[in-house]
Amino acid sequence: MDGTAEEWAALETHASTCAACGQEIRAWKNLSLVAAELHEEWDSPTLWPRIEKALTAQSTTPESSWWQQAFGNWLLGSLRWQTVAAAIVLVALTGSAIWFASSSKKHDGLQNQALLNDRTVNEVERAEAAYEHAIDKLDAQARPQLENSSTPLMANYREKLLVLDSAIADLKSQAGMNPANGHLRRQLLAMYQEKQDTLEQILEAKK
Amino acid sequence: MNSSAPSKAAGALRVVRACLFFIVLVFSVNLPAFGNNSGQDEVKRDFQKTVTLSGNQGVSLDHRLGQVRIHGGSGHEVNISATIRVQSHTNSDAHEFAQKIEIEVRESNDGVHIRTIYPDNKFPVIRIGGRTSYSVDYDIAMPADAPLWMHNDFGNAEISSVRGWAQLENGHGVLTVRDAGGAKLVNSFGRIELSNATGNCTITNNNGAVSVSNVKGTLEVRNRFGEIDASQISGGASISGGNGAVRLNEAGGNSTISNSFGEVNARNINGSLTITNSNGKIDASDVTGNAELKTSFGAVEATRIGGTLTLNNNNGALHFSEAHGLVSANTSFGSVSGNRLFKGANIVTGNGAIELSEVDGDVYARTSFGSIHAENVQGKFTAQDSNGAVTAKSISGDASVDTSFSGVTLEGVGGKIRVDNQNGAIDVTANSGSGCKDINLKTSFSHIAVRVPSNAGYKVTARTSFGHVSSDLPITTTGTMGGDSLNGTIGGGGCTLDLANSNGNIQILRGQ
Repeated sequence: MDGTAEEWAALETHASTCAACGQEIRAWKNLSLVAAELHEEWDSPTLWPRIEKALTAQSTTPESSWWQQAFGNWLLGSLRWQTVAAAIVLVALTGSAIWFASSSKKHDGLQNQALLNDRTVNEVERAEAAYEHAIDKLDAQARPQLENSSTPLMANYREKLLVLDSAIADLKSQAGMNPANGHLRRQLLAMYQEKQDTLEQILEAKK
Repeated sequence: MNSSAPSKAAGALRVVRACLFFIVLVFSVNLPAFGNNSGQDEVKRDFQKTVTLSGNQGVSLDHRLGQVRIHGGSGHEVNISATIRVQSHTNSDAHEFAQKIEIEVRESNDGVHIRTIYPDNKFPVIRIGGRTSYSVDYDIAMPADAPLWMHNDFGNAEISSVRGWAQLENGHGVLTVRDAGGAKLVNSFGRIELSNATGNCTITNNNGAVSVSNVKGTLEVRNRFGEIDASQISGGASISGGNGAVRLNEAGGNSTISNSFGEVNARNINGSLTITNSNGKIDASDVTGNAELKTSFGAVEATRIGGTLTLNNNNGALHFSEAHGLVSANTSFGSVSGNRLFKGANIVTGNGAIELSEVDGDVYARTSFGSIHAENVQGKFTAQDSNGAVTAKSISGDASVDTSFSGVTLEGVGGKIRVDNQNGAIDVTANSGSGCKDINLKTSFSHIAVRVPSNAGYKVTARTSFGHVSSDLPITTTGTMGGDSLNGTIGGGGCTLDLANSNGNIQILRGQ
């Protein structure tokens, strides 16, 4: 334990009038005793020779290629796995941050821009294709329920899907002539989303 | 170990290598994110024009493919500002297309007519090689009190502070209207938001939510697929929904709501309220006038109704409280419960329990497969049940009960008591404070127990086939007397006490 004898005496005096401080001091003393019992020193006469031998063996290996010099040895030999892992995590984090910033920017663009740039249009078209794919799958599952059921609810869903299909057809036609118009693309995505939701509701109603 | 200089050099080399590797890795993974290879050129052209209106002249706008913003202000001028944007694979193409987009501003006797004319662009552009895209956004300032007609398609429209009559039609976009006068709003695929209107408003939407608040006139809303939310309507509201929830809060006049698939919630209606729903719950409260609530598949809840309350349901529960007029409730498959009913209740259900309490007025309750329970009824109590127990407590008027396969328990009945049961016990207590009243009790395969006031007089006729007749009260017999039949009088014999059983005991007990 640190502290001079005088300091400890003053502390003990104070602890005699302070129950919480006394408890704290007793705890420290107990900890010190336990720590002292646990402390052990030992020699390791074979450790350094083993390390030295390994280093010597490494230095006498055949001449490596430029690639190995540049990356191979660095990656496999001298670099510890923790460093590699840290680098991967760093790369992933940086990449994610850049991607996120980039995609947020694109998303903002999609929300606000009157006209979208080429890359955004391509991404939107990919999203539309993904929606169409998902909708086709859902539609195949919901179709028997829609066609075979005569309940008012299913009649309502059938009508809603017709309305949505009509809107999607309108928007696709317009988007074909005006592909980078941001509003058309946003509306089309919203209609796809609504159709997907509607089909999911139909499947949910089936349960 | 002598390794200081070489190891430092090797360490530095490793750091350099690590940095190189890191940079290569980052750029190889994220290179596309840095790229902005749009390959398209965009040009922007602004259009400005000012026109002065006189008298009752108004403004019309016919537009598509862009946003519209119209705002009212002082003065007589219409300031038209349009931003034309065109994107094409070359700057000259974009510029050329932008020049071809025409903003037509035509003045006539009735006002100024604005129209967007796009060049013919009938065929979809093939993606390879380039494509042309375009959009025109409007910002129009106009006299606040001038009438406005607007048609827009494929774009959002925002109209504010235009207090003249307005007809606003939009398609495939959000229509937002603030601080309006009277208005007719139509939208096809998009939300409609209206706030602060000083006149009557009509809203029609096809597929999108409708939100209305603070209308100083009447409101009429029709929506096919989408929610409707209306609040603070000074006049009456007429709402026709389709497939979405409907909420109406604070209407100053008679209001009607119809809906198909969605909850309906109406509260604070100063007038009568009619709700017809097909497949959804109804919740109505604080209605000063009559309320008529009807649905097919959903619960109905009504609270604090000033006038009569009529409830119809096919497959759902009915619950109501604090109705100041007569309550008529009918459901096929659902329970019915009500309390604090100030003018009585007529309740019919096919397969559900009925529970009523604190009723000022007569109660008629009928069910086939459920129990009936009534408590604190200041009037007559009539119950018809086929296969359920009937219990009642504190009935000031007459009690009449028919049931078949369950018990009947009546306590504290102040008026005449009649019970016709087929296969269930009867346990009846006549109220001691109101003198004697006629009592007729009949069952077949269970016991009858009746408690009568000790100071009342009855003319007693009791008979059973396989059971005993017993009495706590002294009976002066007349005619024949056996274990299974009794004819006589209690006290002065003023009222009828007719007890008939086929296979069970009959007990005449001393009441409180």
